[in-house]
Amino acid sequence: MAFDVSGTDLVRAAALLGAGISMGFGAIGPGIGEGFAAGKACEGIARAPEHANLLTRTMLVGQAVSESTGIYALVVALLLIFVV
Amino acid sequence: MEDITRISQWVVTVAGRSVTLNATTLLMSWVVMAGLVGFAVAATRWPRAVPGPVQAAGELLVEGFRDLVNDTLGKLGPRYFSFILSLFVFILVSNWLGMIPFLEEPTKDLNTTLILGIVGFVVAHVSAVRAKGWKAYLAQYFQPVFIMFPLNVIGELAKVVSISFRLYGNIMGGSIIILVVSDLVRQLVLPPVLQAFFGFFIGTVQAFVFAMLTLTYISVAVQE
Amino acid sequence: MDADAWTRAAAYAGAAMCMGLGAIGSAWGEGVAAEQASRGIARQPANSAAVLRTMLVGQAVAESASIFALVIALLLVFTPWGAPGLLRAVSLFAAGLCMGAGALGPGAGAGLPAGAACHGVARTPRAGGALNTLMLVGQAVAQTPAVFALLVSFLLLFKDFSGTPASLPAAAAVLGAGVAAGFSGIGPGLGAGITAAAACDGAARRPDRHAVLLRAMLVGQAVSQSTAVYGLVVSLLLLYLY
Repeated sequence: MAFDVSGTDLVRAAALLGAGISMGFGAIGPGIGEGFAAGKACEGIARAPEHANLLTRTMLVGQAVSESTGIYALVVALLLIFVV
Repeated sequence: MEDITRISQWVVTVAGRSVTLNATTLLMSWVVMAGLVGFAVAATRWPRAVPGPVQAAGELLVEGFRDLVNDTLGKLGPRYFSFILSLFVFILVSNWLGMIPFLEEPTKDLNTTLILGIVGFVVAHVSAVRAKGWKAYLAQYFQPVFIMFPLNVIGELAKVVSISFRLYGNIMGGSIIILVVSDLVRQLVLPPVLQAFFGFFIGTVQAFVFAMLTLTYISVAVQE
Repeated sequence: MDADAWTRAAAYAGAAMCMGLGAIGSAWGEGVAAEQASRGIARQPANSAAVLRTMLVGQAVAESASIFALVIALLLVFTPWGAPGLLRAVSLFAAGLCMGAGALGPGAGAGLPAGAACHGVARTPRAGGALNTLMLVGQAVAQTPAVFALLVSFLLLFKDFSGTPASLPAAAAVLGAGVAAGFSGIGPGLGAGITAAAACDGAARRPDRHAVLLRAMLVGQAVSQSTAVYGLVVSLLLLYLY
């Protein structure tokens, strides 16, 4: 299993592995955070179902904001795959 | 096991360009549509005061979904009701199709789920422009500060990616698991249980999730 | 050492990562379910049969993530994986790592609604049917990242690398594919579990509102899973572009 490793190969390899690490670990926080938002919305809907629409919309806006770090991770991963 | 990612394709030449068609997906989509048209005809052609089983199932489906869509969209509900229900029944029957021997789920192909996601995206954004006008529609992409514009656009596009890959990943994952397990155990007990779980249960939940998400994206787009 | 030994060693290391990591989440989740069930029975001993049934069903679903990990670990240990080589070795290790990490979140997440449902059944036995439905649907959606991890693990195991020349970037892409799909499942799995637990809690308090809760829960879970879907997308890109 011997092969030559050049500098460009090493950089490319680090970029590809980095793309996986970026998306893999970057997804942890948003997933948990959005789950908290959705959980609280469910709690609120159980208490006041007449406000279900308002609560769902608030939940989605909150989730969209807490998802932004996940989207940054996706952007970095795509940049590492396609640009670097 | 090498055929795990193989797809049967037709390559057709149209006006000098070669176009690749996924034969199985096309055929199976037509099977789903034929089945749905058949069901609709059977449910509505001979209406009776005391409905038979097919008519009862159709009425239950339509009434349940009409209430749901009207609850979420208010007075705009009737405009989008038939779109959401068609989306739901098409994906539902597509996901169930894999339980029948020799048939495959069209939703196992990324092309199907991606186009369904794009259709929902276009409907949501056209509705947003119609409800708010061009100015208010464009202004929301510069919130909270104008520098966020590219990230807001990526966030919108990521919705299409997430909604379509979610359906594709679930159905493709289920069918690959069934294939591998059937190949490993070479017996008849476990695969039917897995079929019931992945085909019926996960298939129903994912079809509902897809329809609900499209509905919610439309409702967020037209309100506020 | 020769290539064959390297490949076998990678497969065994992958199997160990797979089962070792994969057991953590499910075990914790099932413990949560059992804790809540015991607490509920201590308060309302009359409902113990219904609570026990809910607990066992909930634990069985929470266990499925670690059963996926067990399947991959056994495949890694007992199946001869064709021509040995750098890419084969890395892909076997990546498959194990992917399934192991991917089972962490869904296993733990599926335990939370089971616990909430057990607690609810003990307190309001008439809500039992609604609670069981909510719990099962919530757990099934929470398992989605584990299904993605299993999908990528199978693709890594069965992909034919004989045509690809062994190079460091190709090996890094294969390992990255496993890491992206596996670790991206931790957060969404836990988050979907938190959502489902809150929905079960709400339904235990107000059983008549379970339909609207089911709808809100599904939308919330689906959105909180989008990062797991991005992980799957990145992993498929890494697998099929390199």
